[in-house]
Amino acid sequence: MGWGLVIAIAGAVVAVILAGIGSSVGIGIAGQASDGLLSEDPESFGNILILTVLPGTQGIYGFVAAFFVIIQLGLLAGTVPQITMAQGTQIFLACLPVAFGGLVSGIFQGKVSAAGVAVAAKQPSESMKAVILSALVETYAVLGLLITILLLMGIKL
Amino acid sequence: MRTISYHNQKDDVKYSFAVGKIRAMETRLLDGLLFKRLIDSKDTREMGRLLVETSYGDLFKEGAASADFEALLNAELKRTYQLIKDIDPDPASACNLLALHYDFHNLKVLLKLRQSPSEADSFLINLGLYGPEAIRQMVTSSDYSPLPLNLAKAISSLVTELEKSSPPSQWIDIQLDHILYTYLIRQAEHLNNKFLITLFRFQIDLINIRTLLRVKQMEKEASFLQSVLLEGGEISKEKMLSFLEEPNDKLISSLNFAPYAQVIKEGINYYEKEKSLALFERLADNFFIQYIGQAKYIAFGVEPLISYILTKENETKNLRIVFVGKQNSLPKNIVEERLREIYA
Repeated sequence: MGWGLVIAIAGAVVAVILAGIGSSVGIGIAGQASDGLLSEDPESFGNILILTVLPGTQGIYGFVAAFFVIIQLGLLAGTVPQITMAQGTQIFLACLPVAFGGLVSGIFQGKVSAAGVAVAAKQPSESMKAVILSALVETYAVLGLLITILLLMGIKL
Repeated sequence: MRTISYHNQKDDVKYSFAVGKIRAMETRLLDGLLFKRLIDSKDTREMGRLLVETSYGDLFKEGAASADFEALLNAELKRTYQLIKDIDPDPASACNLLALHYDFHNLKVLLKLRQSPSEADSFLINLGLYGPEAIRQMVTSSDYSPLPLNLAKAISSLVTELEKSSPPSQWIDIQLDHILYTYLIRQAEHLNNKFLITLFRFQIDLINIRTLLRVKQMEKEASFLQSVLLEGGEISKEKMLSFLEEPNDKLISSLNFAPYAQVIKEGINYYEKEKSLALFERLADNFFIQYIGQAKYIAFGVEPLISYILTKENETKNLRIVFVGKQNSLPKNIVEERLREIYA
């Protein structure tokens, strides 16, 4: 097995790990704020569920990107693919947009969601507006994923 | 209100839970409508009944003597301080500083009545970071070591001086205020909490201006004013002293750009007409309610907790005003006039 494959796999791993950290931290922040509200007002669960879940998507995007890499490499086919150093590096670089996009946007989305919990507490009927604001942060994780997928599809093996 | 020199600090996400909880609790603060109904009610008993349906419900439950409102309102404050302490992730938090003035009140009472301690009971307030019993223990044993080192040292030397000569009781008040505010400012600076530093500075300024007005009326000399002014405000002591010889208009015009300019302008105009600081004090309270309202826009930090405590203090103050008004059958418009702004 050549180093090309190692580098390609490292790309998939970085995508899952960094995007996963982004989501974990993000949901961690938003979840604590939501718990604070729930400790006083359990009825508001429906209003804050989406807010709390939103930062979780980055982790999924990392997972999707890694899955694309696995399919592209044919790792599930049972044969060891022959990947050159250059191809491996290309795949690694292609994974970076979703990895860093997910890491940073996940954390900030968590903060926006946590701040949005105040809206859900004070004006439950307006809580969808807080969801929309939080979803704006999502855009940049989606763009990262999009470029990662386009790049992966463009790389000729 | 003019913008206040306050810059948001680094996000402190460890406060996420606490702030989420506070936001939910803020929805249960008493609103203007309820205060209107309280003012319209015919006696304190009916007020108690109205309060049963609010967050005060378990204190003012059916049959509870609403005549003893003072104790019930203090119980609510005690509960608030305890709750904030429970949800505050930082044990050395800035919130601890807010309860300290009750300890100092108790300390003043106990030191002034140290010859007849039994009389002190009725003046003690069952609140504070340490509580009246701990303070009593310290005064009887003359051992202030449970307090932070700075405070313990300052108070010990004050007590030594107290035993040598017997100064007037007003002197004790002044000295303890000096010690308290020096400590508060120093701690707020140590915690690097701009919100609190500014809050305490403004408090000191408004206290100093009130002192200045009283000293002027008493026609005392500058050295006396020098000894009673608090240090650490936005307005320096020297500047304050320079106002002593000037007419009040000069004071108003030179503080025209202070954030609390309105308090000074309207408060002093009323004071000159009526010889009463009531409006000044009410406007000052309203100013602080507006000031802490800034914490509404902070999602990560201790500020919403500080703001909640002070809002609760304001709410119980308003309730006390209405209760006292009802007890003394004051006309509605007078009670309404005395109410502080309601945080919304």
